[in-house]
Amino acid sequence: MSHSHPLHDFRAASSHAAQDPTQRHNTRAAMDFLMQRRAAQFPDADELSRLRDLGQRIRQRALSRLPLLLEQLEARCVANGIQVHWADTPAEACEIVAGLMRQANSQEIIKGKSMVSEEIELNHFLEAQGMTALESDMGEFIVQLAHEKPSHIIMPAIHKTKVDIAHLFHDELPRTPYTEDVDELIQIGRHALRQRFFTAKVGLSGVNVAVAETGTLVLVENEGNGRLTTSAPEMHIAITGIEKVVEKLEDVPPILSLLTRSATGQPITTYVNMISSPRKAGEKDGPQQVHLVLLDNGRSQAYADLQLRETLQCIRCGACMNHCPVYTRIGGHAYGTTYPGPIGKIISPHLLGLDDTKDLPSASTLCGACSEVCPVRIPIPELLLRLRQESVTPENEPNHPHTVRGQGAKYRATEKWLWRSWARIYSQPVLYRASRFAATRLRGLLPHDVGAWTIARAKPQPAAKSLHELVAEYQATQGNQP
Amino acid sequence: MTAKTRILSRLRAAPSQQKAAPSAEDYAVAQQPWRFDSTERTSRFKDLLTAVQTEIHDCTSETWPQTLAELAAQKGWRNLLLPENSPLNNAIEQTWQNSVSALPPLQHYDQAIEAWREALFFDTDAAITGCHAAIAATGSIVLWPSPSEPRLMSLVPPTHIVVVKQSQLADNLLDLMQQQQWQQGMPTNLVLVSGPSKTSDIQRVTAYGAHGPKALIVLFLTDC
Repeated sequence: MSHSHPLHDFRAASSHAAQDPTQRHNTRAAMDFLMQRRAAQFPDADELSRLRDLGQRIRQRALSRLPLLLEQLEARCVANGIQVHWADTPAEACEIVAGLMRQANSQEIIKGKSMVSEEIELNHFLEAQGMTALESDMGEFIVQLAHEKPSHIIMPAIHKTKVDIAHLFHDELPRTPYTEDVDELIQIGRHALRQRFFTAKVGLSGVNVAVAETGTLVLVENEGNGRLTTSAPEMHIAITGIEKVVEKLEDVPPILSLLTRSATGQPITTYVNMISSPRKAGEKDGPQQVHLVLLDNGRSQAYADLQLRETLQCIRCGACMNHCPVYTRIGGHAYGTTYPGPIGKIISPHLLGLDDTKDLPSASTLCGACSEVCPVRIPIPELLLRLRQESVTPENEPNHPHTVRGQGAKYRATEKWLWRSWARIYSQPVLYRASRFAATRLRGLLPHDVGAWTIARAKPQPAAKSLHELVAEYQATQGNQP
Repeated sequence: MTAKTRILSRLRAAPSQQKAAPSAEDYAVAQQPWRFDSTERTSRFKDLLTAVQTEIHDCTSETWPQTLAELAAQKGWRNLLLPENSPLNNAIEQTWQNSVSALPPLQHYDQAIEAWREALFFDTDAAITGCHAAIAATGSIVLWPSPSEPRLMSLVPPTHIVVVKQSQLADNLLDLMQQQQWQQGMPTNLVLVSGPSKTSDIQRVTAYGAHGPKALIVLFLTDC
């Protein structure tokens, strides 16, 4: 869907966000909170390390058998009565959902939290068809009411204060008194949405883990809106990326433990909801139909390369963004992608193409905080370096497989020429000495504006003499004495 | 070509890299640190649930219906929803019959939701269910909804009361799942509940009663 709107200017957006003190304060406070909560959940470093090893093994094992497991998942789901749909692109996924809504005779869908539904821009698509999507997760509800997008994958409204929300509810919800009391605000949200759960005929949710062995969809949440979305309407549609599958039911407990402790620092979420079939004969509630939509949208591109495949190990806990010095300073909106932060930088190029995301792999200090906390040990800095390399390798480069859509988006012939010249100078002593002489003697000719360097810094000032010359002079006067 | 064929053929065309399944030793990290002696098991279960505002009452197999009656009177529920036919029902009905003070009327989840949706959503104050098991490591209650105890019972009414027997307490989820061989047959919907509904979506302040029950009450039977 990236081509439906103009190219997002990451440089301008991040620079703007970094200069916004309110944004800086809100995001910093939220990330400090989440980092402390996570740290408190892992007092035993050895346990954490072994659990991360296990998480990595489970995810890598599942990915190594992905086509097989997807077919097994489908077969198990179908045997359980769940109907399975496959979508190659966001447009196909949106069409499937809209078609199911028409089949259920419903113009409205109530949604539990689903980042994949954000990825395919489902709400936007349905509105264009004259249909309505209503977010029921409190954070997503707030963001939708404000006509914004989530700024964090776990806590969508983390950029807003209770004062912002007090104004929003008062202005946007009918007959709502102004209050900054969080309990009262939540009760306002509960009341507004309870009526909608009562009438909703179709509910849509994401999936945290799909179990191939049993055809089970696992969802974690605290609010109960996920359970209502999947239990109260006649039809439940679950949508997930193809990478979320695991082989066995016993893979679920370790993945859950890593997910909830890494994400929000909870030993477990209030609800873990495991769905294996629609309502069976004799049961008195639950949806009559359950549908599972499996979305590719660039994931098979990442899968095609053994290194980039590691991107797909992700369980979407958000710990990488919580610990990222860049995310903490610019917040989630600046990225302009569904998934912000470090994981967003390595997954978005596959979903949207490198031409639309070329600034993201470079927007990192490679400090490694993300890979240090990743519960499934994704080597994010290495993947960033790899994507940087792909972004400057032209599509027609000989002996280089074309692996990423939009490859070579940052390639510039002049830059390549510059580096080639640099390599030549540094490998030939005569050229090296000549250029050194020129750089020191002609230093006054350096312009004040040296491109990106001087946006936020003073221009570099070459010394009058090179280190080689200084050492040579020193030795001439002092001999070899230090 | 269908989307399924396209996706699967791309995945199959990718280089294959065999990865061994994790061993039982690998999985032990999700089990060994989470095994407890019987005192610790009970106290951990209660402490974790209490920390997230769950009300826990120690009872016996004799006294719990009386505790329930006292709670009903004290909390002012307009009604109490029972499963259609559960081993709990007899004891509750008898206690209600013998009570000298007025108690909220008992209802049973004895028809499909379509027949009484509005009453469940807007006029049912509390529901009581049993549970399938409970988990000490995370302070969780395992619900295994059935035709008699449908899934909306523990979700829609503002108060959910659940009867947990001490003997139902397992150490951790993986042990429980393996002992009971869950992979042999999962129910329509299996839920782990670890407290009343809550959210921290507004400025990280935890508020209870988001969309599910505002109150979770555990009647903990210490003698069975």
